[in-house]
Amino acid sequence: MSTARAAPKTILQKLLDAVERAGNKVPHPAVLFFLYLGYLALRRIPASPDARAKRCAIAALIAFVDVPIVHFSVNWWRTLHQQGTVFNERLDAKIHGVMAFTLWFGVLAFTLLYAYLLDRRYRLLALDEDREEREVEQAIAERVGAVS
Amino acid sequence: MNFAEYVISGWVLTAVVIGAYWLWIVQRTKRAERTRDLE
Repeated sequence: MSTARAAPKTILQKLLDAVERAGNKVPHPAVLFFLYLGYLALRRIPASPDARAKRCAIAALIAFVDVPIVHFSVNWWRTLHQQGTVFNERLDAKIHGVMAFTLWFGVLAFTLLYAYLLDRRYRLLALDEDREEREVEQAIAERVGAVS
Repeated sequence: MNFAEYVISGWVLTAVVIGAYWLWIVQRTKRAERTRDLE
């Protein structure tokens, strides 16, 4: 029968444990999801186009900080996940055959899909901005016409 | 559900979400172009 007990943890060990626990949460895809949900919510807040663009650009830069954290998390918090399979320290991809094909095919397909949807969304936003500008010009013209 | 069914369900769900988003963009673009042409 063993009577040995683990030595009580020092404050530094407790602090490191807390950092480990908090760190394990940061690279969670849900954190990234909520960050970008917040970005989209921010875009919906009414403001002048310039102010909205500036505010959203700053928010996007801050939110993007989580992307490299997610990428490097497999090396920084080793209790969470296996080491990097493709982009590991030795750049020795431990994936082959049909799995590798599926991975690269998926990456290519979703990159092309992303580019296409980005182009469509950009066009839609440009049309919306055009309409807003025309409405403002029309409202100004009406007011000027009413005064003169 | 076995493993293959989870994988296929995931692909179907992804396709539905992306398809719905694409349809929404197409509809909104058509409406915006129609409004512009009317003015």
